[in-house]
Order: sequence, then C-alpha cells, then structure tokens
Amino acid sequence: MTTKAGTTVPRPETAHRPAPWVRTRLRSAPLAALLMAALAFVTVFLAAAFPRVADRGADGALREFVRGRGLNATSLHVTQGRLFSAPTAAELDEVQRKLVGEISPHLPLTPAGQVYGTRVPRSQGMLNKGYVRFHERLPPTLNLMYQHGFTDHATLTDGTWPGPAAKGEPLPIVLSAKAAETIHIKLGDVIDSGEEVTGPIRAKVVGFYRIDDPDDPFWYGVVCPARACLEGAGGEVFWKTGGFVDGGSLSALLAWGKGGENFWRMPLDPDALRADTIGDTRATVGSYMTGPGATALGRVTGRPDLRVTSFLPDVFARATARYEAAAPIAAIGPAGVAGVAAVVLCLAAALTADRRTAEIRLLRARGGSRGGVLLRLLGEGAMTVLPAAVIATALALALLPTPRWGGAVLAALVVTLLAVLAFPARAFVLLSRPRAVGGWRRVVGELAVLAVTAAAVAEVRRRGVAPAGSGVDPLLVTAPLLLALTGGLLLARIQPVVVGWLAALAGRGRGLVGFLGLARAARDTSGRRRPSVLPLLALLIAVTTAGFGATVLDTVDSVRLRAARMAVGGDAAVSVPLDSTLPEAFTTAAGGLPGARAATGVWIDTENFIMGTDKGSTQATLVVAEPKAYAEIARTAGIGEFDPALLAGTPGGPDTPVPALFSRNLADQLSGGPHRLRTPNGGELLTTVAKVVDGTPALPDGFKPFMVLPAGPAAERLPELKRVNNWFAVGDVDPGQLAALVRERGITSTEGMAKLVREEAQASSQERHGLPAGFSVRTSGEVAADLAADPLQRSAGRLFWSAVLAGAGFALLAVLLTLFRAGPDRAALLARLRTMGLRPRHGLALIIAETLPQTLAAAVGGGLTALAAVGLLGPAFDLSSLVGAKVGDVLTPVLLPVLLPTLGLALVVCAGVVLETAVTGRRQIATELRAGEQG
Amino acid sequence: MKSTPQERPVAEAPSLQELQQRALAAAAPKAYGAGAAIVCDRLVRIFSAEGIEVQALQGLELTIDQGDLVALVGASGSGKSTLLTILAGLDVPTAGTATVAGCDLLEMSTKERLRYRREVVGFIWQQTARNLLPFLTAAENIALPMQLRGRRSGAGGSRRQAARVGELMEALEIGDLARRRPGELSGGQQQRVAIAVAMANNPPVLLADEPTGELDSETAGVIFESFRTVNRELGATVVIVTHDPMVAGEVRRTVAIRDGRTSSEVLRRTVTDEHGEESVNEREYVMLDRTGRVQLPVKFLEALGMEHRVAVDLAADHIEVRPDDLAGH
Repeated sequence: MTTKAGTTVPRPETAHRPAPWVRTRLRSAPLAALLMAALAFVTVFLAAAFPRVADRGADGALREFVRGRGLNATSLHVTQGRLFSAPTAAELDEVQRKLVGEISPHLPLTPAGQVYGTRVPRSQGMLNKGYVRFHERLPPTLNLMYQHGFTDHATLTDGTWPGPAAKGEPLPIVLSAKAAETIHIKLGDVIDSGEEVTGPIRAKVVGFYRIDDPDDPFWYGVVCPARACLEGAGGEVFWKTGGFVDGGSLSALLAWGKGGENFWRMPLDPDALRADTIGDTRATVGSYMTGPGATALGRVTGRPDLRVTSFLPDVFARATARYEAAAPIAAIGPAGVAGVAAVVLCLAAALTADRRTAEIRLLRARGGSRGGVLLRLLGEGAMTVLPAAVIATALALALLPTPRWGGAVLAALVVTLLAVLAFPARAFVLLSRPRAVGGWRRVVGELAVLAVTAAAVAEVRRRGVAPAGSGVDPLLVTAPLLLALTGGLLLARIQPVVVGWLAALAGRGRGLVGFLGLARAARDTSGRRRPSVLPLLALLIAVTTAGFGATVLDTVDSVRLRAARMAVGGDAAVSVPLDSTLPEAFTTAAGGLPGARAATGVWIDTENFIMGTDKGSTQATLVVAEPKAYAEIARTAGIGEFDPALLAGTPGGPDTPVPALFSRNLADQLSGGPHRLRTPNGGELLTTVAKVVDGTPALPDGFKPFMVLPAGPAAERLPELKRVNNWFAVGDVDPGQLAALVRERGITSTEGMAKLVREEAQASSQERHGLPAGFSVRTSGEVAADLAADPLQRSAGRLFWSAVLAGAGFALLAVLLTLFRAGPDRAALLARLRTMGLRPRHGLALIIAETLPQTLAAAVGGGLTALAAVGLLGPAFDLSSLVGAKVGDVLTPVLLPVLLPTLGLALVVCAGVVLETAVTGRRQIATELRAGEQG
Repeated sequence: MKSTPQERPVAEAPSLQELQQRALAAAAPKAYGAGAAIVCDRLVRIFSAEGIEVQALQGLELTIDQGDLVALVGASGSGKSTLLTILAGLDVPTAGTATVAGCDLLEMSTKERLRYRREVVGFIWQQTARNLLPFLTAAENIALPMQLRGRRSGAGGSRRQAARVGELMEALEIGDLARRRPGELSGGQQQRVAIAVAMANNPPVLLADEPTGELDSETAGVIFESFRTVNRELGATVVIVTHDPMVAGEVRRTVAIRDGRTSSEVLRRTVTDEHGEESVNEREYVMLDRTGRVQLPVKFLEALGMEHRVAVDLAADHIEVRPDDLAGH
C-alpha cells in the first residue's frame, strides 16, 4: 500500500483487535479455573498415587515375606559334591567370581551372606579323655569346614590362625573359645577322632576365636560356630561344635571328613525384588536350577557337576498366592474412589455446562460452529487441567518412588482425559438438537446397568473364591461398584416419588417450610435442568465403599482376635517347661492382675491313659482346671463351651467318679460307665463323661484325645493333680505385667543337667519377654498384633481407609458443588419468600428440608447397598491373607461397621450444607434483596 | 427464476421471443414475494412440551422488501418472537416456507445454517446483558462474530477485523467505549454495542427482539436512531419486534401480528403536498392473504357489532362489508 506524503494511514487501535479467547475467558473467572485445576490436581494425584501405593505395598510385602523366610530359603545354593580331588582355595575364589559374574546380571544378589568354601558331610567324635560327656556312648562331636574369609569375621583370642596342613601331621584348626571352655578343650590339643584305614584322624587346635557378630549372615548355616550346642534328646545328649581350617589344607580336610563338597551360597537381595517381576525372577531361578542357566553355570565355571538348589521357587509361589488373595480386597477401596471421583468430575462438568449455557448459546447464535465452540471449551479445559495434571502426576511419581510407572501414568492419563473432555462432551450434548421428551434411552441404560450388575454378581457368586494365580479379578473389584451404581439409579427413580409423596403429606399440614423444601427437593430430581442424580450417585458410592470396607476390616479384626484367642486359649496364657510347675503364689497373684476377668491355673499332662476303651487303653491329654473360670474362658474363646455346673462333682471318697469333659474322639472309643484314668506317676482316678466337646482352650489344636477334669474334686482324689503348669485367663491382661510376675514368682529353680539345658536353651531362645526358655507368656492381643504385623495387611488396611477418606471427601465435594450451583436460584427464592415474611431461621430450615432428603436417601441407600454387597459378594472373598492366619470365615453383613460410616458421612454432608448456607446463603440473599431495590 | 425488469435490455425494442417470454411470465402463477428480503408463506410453528401442543404461528404470511425498516408489533404470546427466532435461524418452522435473502430456512443443512447465521442475519435480544459476553470488552465483543466466522488470515486479517470494529463503533457513536466491559456500560450503550455486534459480519438482514424493552423512552429513541443509521448507511434490512405500539411512529412500516398471523399493517410515508409542505401520512391496512381471507380489526367489528357473518358487496372500486342484515335467520 502506498501513502501520499503528509497523510497517515489510520492504524486500527489495538483495543479493536479480537481477544484471544482462552486467555480472556480464563482471566475473567480465575476462581472457577483455579477450582477446576485444583479438582483435577487432586483427582489426578490420587489416580497416579493409588497404583504406586499398591505397588509399594506389594513390593514391601514381598520383600518382608522373603526376608522373613531366612537366608537359607532365599539363597541359591551351588554345590559340587563327591570331590575326588581337593580343590585349592584359589580355585574356589575363581569359581565364586565366575558364578557371581554369571548370575548377578539376571538376579539381584546381595554380597552380605555370600559365602563359599568346602565342608565335610559329617561330624567326627572327639574321643579325647577329659572332654565333657553326658553319656558314655556319646562323645562330643566336631564339624570342620573351610569358609572363605572366616578370619575376617572373628577375632583370635588365643594361639594363631591355622596354616596349611603338613603331610602326616594333624590338621590345624581353630575353635570358638566358648565351645572349648564348655567341652574343656585346651590350646594345642590334638583331637583324636579314631582310626581309619588311611590312618588316624586327628586335628590340632592351634587357636581360639570369638565371633565378632553372631547376627552376621556370614555365620548363617555354619554348624555351631560361636559356642557348643547341645544335641540329642532326652537323656542322650552331647555337645557339638564347629571348627575352621585354612584354605591351604583342603585335601587334609577331605581326608579328615572322609569326603566333602564345595559350596557357594548366593543369597538373593530381598530389597531388589519386585512384585510385578516375580514371575520372571522365579523363572530365572528355575533356569539356574534345571535349565539353560544351569548349563551356562557349568560352562562358565568349567565344572559341569555343579548343582544348584534353592527354596526360592516355593517362597515366591507362596508370596504370590498371598498377594493375590489380598489384592482384590485391597483394590475395592480404590475402585470405589475411582467411581466417586468419576461421578464428581462428570458433575463438575455438568454444573459448568449448566452455568454457561447462556454463553454457549450466544456464541452459537453469533455464528460459532459447533466444532469451533467445542474447540474453545476444550482449549479452556486443557489450559486449566493439563498443567495441574502434569504436576500432580510428577508429584505422585516423585513422592512415591517405585520402579513401575506404567499403571500410575495410565490412570493419571485416563483421569486427565475425563477431566478435560467431560465439559466439552456435556456442552456437545447441549448444542445438539434437543431430543424428544420421554425417550427410552434412560430406561434402556438403567436396564443395561441392572443386567450387567446381576450378571457380575451371579458370576462372582458362582465362581466363589478366585483360585490363586489368577491375579486381580476385575469382576470382583467392580462388582461392589456396579452394585452401588444400580442402587444409585434405583434410588434416583424412587426418591422423587417418595419425596413428592412426603411433600404432598407435608402440604396438608400447617407448616410451610417443610412443604416448600420437600417440593423443591422432589422437583430437583425430576426436573431435567439440574443434574441431581450425580451427587446422589457420588454419595451413594462413597457410603457403599466405606460400608463395605469397614465391614471387611471389622470382620478381619474380629476373626483375627478369635484366631488369636484360639491360638492362645483365651486372652492370656502362661506355660512352663516340662519339668517345672507354677507355684500357687503365682496363680493367686496372676488372678488378681488388673483386667483379668476369669483366670485359672491348669495342669496339662499328655502322658495319661484311659483304661477300658475299645483299644484297651488310650493315651489322652489331661487338663485339670477350675471349672467356673475355665468355662468362662471357653465361652470367651468360643472353643468347647460348657456349663461349669456339669463339672461340680460330688465330694466323696476316691471311688466316687469325677465328672469330666471328654473330647469327641476319646468319647467315641468309650463305652458306658465310669472310666479309669491312670497318670504317669501311677495314680488312678474314676471319671464319668459329663459332656463331649470338640476342643478346649488349653489344647486349641484339639486333634489328640483329651479330657478336662475339675480341679477341686480331682485334687481331692489324686493330690498330684493339684499341681499347675499352665495358667489361662480372659480379659485385658497386660503381657508385660504378666511376664514380670512370671519372672518374680513363677520360675522355680532348677539344678544339675536341667539347669545346663535350660541355660543353653535360654542362650539360643528368642522369647520376647526375656523369660527363660520353656516359659512363655502369650496374650491374644500380642498374637493378634503379630498376625496383623504384615505389610500386606497393613498396606491393604491403609489403602482401604485412605480410600474411604478420599471417597467421603469427593462425595462432600459433589454435594457442595450442587449446593453452590443452586445457590443463586435458592437465594432468589429466599429473597422472594423473605419479602412475604419468611424469617431467616426458616430460610435455613428450608434449605435443610431441601437437601436432607437427598443426603439421607443416599446415606440409607448406600448403607443398604453396602449390606447387600457384603451379603452378595462376601463368599467370594478369602479373608485369610488379611487375617494373617488360615481361617474359613466368610464376610457376612454386620450392621455396626456399615452404620458408622453411613451416619458419619450423612453428618459431614449435613454440616457442610448448614455451613454453606450460613456463610454464603446469607450474603447471597442480601445481594438479591439489594438488587431488587436497585431495579 | 424469471428475468427481472433491471436485467431487461432497455434500449432495444422487444423482440418476438422476448414478447413471448413476457407473455408466458405474465400468464404463469406469480412467484410469491419474488425479490423481497424476507418472505414468509403460510408459516406454521408448533411447540410441544410435555404433551401440550402450542401453535405459535398459524400460517403466517409476511413479505419485507430489501432495505426496509419494519416493526412487528403484537401482544405477548402473539408469536412475534417465535417468528424472529425462526428468521434468525435459531429455530426451524414446522411447516410453510420462509426465505431470507434467498436462503430457504426449512431446507438448510447444518453447514448452511451456520453460514446463514454468520453472514446473512444479525440478531439482537431484548435483555441487554444477553447480547454481550460479560468478560469481553465492547470491541472484543464486536470482533467476536468475525472471529467465530474464522476467515482471519494472519495479521492482515486481524488488522482488517480491527478496522471493521473501529468503523462500526464510529458509525454507532460508541468509539470511546471500546475498552469497557458490558458491566461498565449503560443499558443504551450496551444495546448499541449489541447492534454493532450484530452488524459485525455486515449481514443484509438485522433482526431485533424488543431491543428497547428494558430502556426508558429517551434511550429507546437513541437506539431507534441507531437502527435507522444501520438501515440507511449500512443498507441492512431491519426487522424489529416490539409490543410497544409507539414504535410505529419510528419506522416506515409496522406489521401487527395476532394469534400467529399477520393481521394489519401501518404504512408511514412523508408526502409533499401541492404547497410544498411535508406531512407524514399514516394509513392502516389489513392483510389480504393468498386465499383471499381478511382479518378485520377488532375495534371495527365491535363498533358495528359484527360477528359470525357479514354481508359483502362488490362496488366499482371497493368492497363493502356490512353487518349481517339477516341476523337471526
């Protein structure tokens, strides 16, 4: 364009330029955009976090389970047996290097506990005079081995480390100083192990050592490295100890042990295991045991006779089975949250579309094409949701590190898509031509959901508990959600009718507020403009999920406590070693412990015989207890309940029979009449069958024949039965106090060999209360806690509760969103009513009357759906993995756990409504009235 | 399409062929409303909601010439707003024909309807706030239809749009309001911005539904002046729907609608008499439809007590309508 000199082309003002749509629109309503971004952020974060949390839970559970199996079960054991020629230590080193080089790229190995060396197949007796023997025939024994690097893990206390064996000389060895002291071995002793055809078998003690750290995995699997161990049973016991030789005397070692094998232990690193790749790991282990891996090991090391054994495949199989049993229960909570969140996202979209209908219509009337308008809306959504979603996903990935990210990103992507697309999709429907009223679409949709739900429930029930190895069953996980959806749709049909009926009823009364509120509530759901099925659905799914989850957790808790009580035999139990008894001072004091409801000392003896059975005589366990307390314990524990009056007995001479409880398998062998009982000491007693029971608290496993005698009458006839070697109680007894009491009054002193045995056992025992071995204090609380101390259960429980919380939050959000949307409309109504003389108090009542029917209907409906879901789907869940013990219990509907979340959610929502009204309602009404004045 | 007088060669004498054509054209049934900007013929629109049918238009006939400024008046519920929504392409008639600037409103595809809304008609609603997006400035609102039309080709297009916005604001005397948002404008200003928005794509037809309904009479006068400006300077055919009978004084032609039909109309002309004085000549007509039906004004009928039947006589230059002299027989 050319211009004449002196004239300027009028440049259009920048103000006249078209506005960039998305930026301008978002800037005009920053709060709405921020809220949408926040909703997207939270939802996407949860969506990305749940798979990560589940993954971490599964990994943690697997690792803890594998670690708990011990080093032996989680190692690859490579052995080369039947050695014809002795290897050198350098050869062993070489093989070790090659094995690690071959295996570690495929399996995560840990260097801790990686040991190798040469061992002999059996121990040799130490025939030297002066060494401690308990029995003339049984000399103490010695087991020798070479384990690479043993000098680094022990400290020399006396003498020297052994060197290479010289030809014809005794084999130089080191022993633990403690063992030497116990067995009375002195430095420089030549241990004589008899003669062979090849010559005398001798080893010379050249040094003593002390183990640096007994818990070092290096010592795991070595025969008695730290001190002498007591072997044998009954009176036939002997000391046994281990010793080490130098790597240079391996051929002498083979000669000493009459053979031997090389071994390499390759422990897997439990911390590097992943639940998702467990199948591959298992296959790799299998390959090294028998398969291409085994061949490769033989080839690499040049020793084709290497054998690989491991318990790992079995360990993995068990871990997988446990995980798969717990997975569906753990997945139900997140599935419920996903349902509620999806409903809330749709609701937010519907409300936004509702709010912006006029704007969209105007755009359309001004010549906006449908595609163009939708693109603009999509742009807005993308601008708000996408950054929030990206940040949320990144945050979830960063905060919850776990190697797998596919599931999290996929879930985040799905949620993001839903958040971005829901509003344009709703607007698309709005922009389309209105459909004919009263179409069949809704009915057809509802019938379809109903049919799918019925099919899912029928299939889940038909199949029962899913077999192990089938993974998470999507049908099982979605079935409660489908039930909730069906319940919601049914409720959406029923509620308007019922509320309308109520409104008609209220209309006949005198109060105006109730009628107005109910009429509005009824119209809300039937009216087409407001999407009130969605908040109902959100609430209902949330309540159903919470109720279902609470029922599962509650059932698991009670089943676990029952399992624990069964294992303990009541709430608290004390047992003592075979040879000792509990003094009366203890039983009296223990009965007075705070929390003990019923307590009794019990004599349990297995070596009794009942005469005159159909086999002649039958060995039976005798339980002598105080009947009243024992009956209470049996009742509480739920095992072998009986009426204490049955065992009251009659005072009388030794010929009067004592009434007793008989186990079923024992009673089956008896014919009528009093039965003669013979104790191991030769005492005899007549008994009659008072009742036949299936089990008794003192003998929870109850497979062996037993009988329960009342303490008083039994002791009267046979004083030896007055003794007590067990103590049982029910009630909330503190295990610490009980253990203290046992230490103080329960332990009777012992001496001689029994003392030695006990000390030895105490040194190796792991009793948690620091009691001597054989003594034990167990409480149902501790056992239940032990059962519950499993990362699998912990993560499932945590997931459940966080799901319940998140679901409740979303449901509350759904209700608040609806309230906010309806706010201006309601404020206008209130303002109008206010001009007609309505009091502010009535206004609040009106809003509550309007909101309450829906909330209550959703809460009650959700509770009923939860009960129905538990009843319908309960048999398909295996609780064992959550309880921690194998139990046959199935989920049955329980009222209380369903009632609590139902009421809680209803209360929270009502409080939210009241708060919203109190805060924003008042302001809106004021604005409304002022606006009226201005107009 | 028949040849129109403008296309006929004027200089030459008509040939035989042309005379033949002319004769055939005269003999053929005349196409209804040919050459007009808006033609409605027996237009019917039935709304049905929840089982109840409402016949908003009952065979309405209307012809509006190009460049005309017409007011449609009628009581509320007479169907005038329905007619306007149909003309705006936002609603589809149930039966009949409606043609606006050559576009058949019944036969249009979705794509054509979109083009129609973009290029053929502009629309102004009664509620001042409903015409404008509250978050856009006046200038941005005016630019919006051009933006939505989407023919911008880079910066040049943008500059052209800005120029058009400036031009429209200048014409409607709202140039200084460019940066204000609708909330900061008075009702009259908002309505003038709305007129600018409606005219943004320079449509040949401008439709307004009660544009002065929420304004006081003084402001309403200003708005009508704007409409006249648009009509005169931008050459648009303007149709204004109103229930205000005073509007008749502002426009050339006023068409009254009753019960979904056009009933009467008032033509207003400036006549110069033999003394050179100008006077405004107003004449009320009733509509004669294609089947010969006439709807007589209610006040005429009441004045003469006419009902059920009237006597009709043909005179040399008019038709007499008298009360039924045989009443009771």
